Amino acid sequence: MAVRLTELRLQNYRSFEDARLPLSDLTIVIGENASGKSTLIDAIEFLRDAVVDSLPFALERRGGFQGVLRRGRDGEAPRVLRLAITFELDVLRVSRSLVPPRGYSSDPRADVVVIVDDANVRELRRARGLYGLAVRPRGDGRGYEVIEEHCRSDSDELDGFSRDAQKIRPSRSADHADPVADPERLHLAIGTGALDSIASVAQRAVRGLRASRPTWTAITSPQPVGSPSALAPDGSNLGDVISDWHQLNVERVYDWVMARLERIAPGIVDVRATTHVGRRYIEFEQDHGKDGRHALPGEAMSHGTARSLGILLALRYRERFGSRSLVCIDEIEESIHHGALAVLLEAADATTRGSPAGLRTVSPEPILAIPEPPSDYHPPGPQVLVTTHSTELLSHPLVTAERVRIVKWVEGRSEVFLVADGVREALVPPETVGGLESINALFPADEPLRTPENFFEIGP
Amino acid sequence: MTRKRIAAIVEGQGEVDAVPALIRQWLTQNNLHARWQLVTEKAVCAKGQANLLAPLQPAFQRGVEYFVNAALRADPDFLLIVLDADDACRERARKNEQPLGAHVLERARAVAGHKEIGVVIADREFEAWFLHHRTAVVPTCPAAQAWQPTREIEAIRDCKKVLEGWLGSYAPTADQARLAKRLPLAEGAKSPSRSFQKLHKELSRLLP
Repeated sequence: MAVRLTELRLQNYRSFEDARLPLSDLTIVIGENASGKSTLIDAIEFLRDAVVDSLPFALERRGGFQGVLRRGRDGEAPRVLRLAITFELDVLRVSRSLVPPRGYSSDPRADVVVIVDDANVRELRRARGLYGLAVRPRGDGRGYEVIEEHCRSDSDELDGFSRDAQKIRPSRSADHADPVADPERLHLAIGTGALDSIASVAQRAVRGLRASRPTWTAITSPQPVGSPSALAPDGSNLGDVISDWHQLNVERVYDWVMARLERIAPGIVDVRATTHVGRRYIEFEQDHGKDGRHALPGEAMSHGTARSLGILLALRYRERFGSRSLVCIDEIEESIHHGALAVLLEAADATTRGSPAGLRTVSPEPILAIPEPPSDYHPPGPQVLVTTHSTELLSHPLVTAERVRIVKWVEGRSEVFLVADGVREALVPPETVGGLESINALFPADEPLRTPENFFEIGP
Repeated sequence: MTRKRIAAIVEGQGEVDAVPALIRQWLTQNNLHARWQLVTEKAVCAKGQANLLAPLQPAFQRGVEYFVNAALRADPDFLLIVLDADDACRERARKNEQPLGAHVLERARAVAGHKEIGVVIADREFEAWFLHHRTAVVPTCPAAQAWQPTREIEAIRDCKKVLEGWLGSYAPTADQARLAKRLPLAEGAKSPSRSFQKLHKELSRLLP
């Protein structure tokens, strides 16, 4: 997917009062216990839940609006919860003469937004976009209301929308506004057909947010039979996903996962799911040398192997008709041997680089195909965010100071910092981020990362 | 006004929090927070005296120079190095070598000559300061108040064990910073511990 998330912004979300998390291809978030690392992933999941399911559902899962809103001091005016993601996307302007008039069918894994132009042009360029929302408690103290929602880009050609408590306005038709149908729901959660191009891209980007914190219990317990969909964060539908191995292997997911799992747990040669009386059971096959291969039940799998399997699938598995923009892995090192951590980190890095594939399009006007992409165009895979405490993982050469964000609990709130310039500039191999972290010399920058004065501005 | 910056380098996990706690206490007592700030809440940790005093080997994170260089990346104006003497001071004296404090200072200056550097060698260990100042550090512990050292406190090899006897348990990572905050830094110049006097003297350099 050529949409690249650039930043998450939060205000008054749980322990965060005002923070900004820049996102790289591979982002490594570090920090002490209870500093707020997992809350960042929760905020990302919250955005997805609110758009894919509904805002009421996303809040209910988190104990209601008061469960996510950072509390103010006594007597202070009620705070406003604000969340936003910013992103970059490819926009192809192409002459109408190059495009067949009809026959386009929407591909949900679109890479490029196409603008069909009357001028004789063919130009691929980057545009920037933002989607964000603001929610506050109702005046009567019961419930909440959405008071702002924005989806915009810095390109005049891409239409978005802005919403206040009463009206929704398309960004290119300032004189036209529709009343807000439901103050407790998001406009972006409405079907794609009703949305303009930048909103379609934002919707796909938000739908593509994934969290992964697999547990041995969820993976190895009998699971109800469902249809393969997004892998559940705890791996509790992993049986559905791997029961579909053959289809998955269209994209060589099985080979990719097993090649890495064999390095993590030598001797494992197969993992499969069986079905009995409406339940999925994970089984795996292990090579016992001269004693042959043995099929073993999922419960016999070690905690680290089960978690590794869940993480590898989260990195690689894409449900049919789905897309992934960012895969977040919480505490990647839990139960996992440090040697296996290197395999998982390299798998995460490989995931971000994607693979050569056809260019897919979404267009405000119907087209069948677009001309050949530029020869240097290479659609990347999803971005990956990893939280960790592991100095072993941080000592891997893939972990550069540029990729690291430090989350700290400072004066009663969580803050996000970049690594200090002095550390970034002087860090050259064989010295590593993990080595500096282990001696408390991975200094954060002096100032935490704050949101812009206008929370919903796209940025400089 | 731009605040000047202090970084600390220590050798043990307990001092990682304890030394910054002492510095913060000093800044507070002397109303210096507007002039000075700690670069981080935790001190740079050499993870053992042997690592700190070893010849420079950056690839293995060894040597005073390595840790000073690491601390310099936080752009400090003042570097405070605190380590336990253990037997090193006596050993060096026996061998007629340069005193430990001067040795560490010389090596630190070789890579950070443009910075203010203070070196404090706790004799024989940081916890000896707690024993010297037991009245302030554990005022409600009858065993501590009744305790009479039978020899020089600096000659005690395991001050942690004495603290454990008083408190029931003592773990540097859990207790050292908490107890360090109670050390009477303001009266440090009159401390019965010469190394604590030295700490007071080094911190006094932060005064205007």
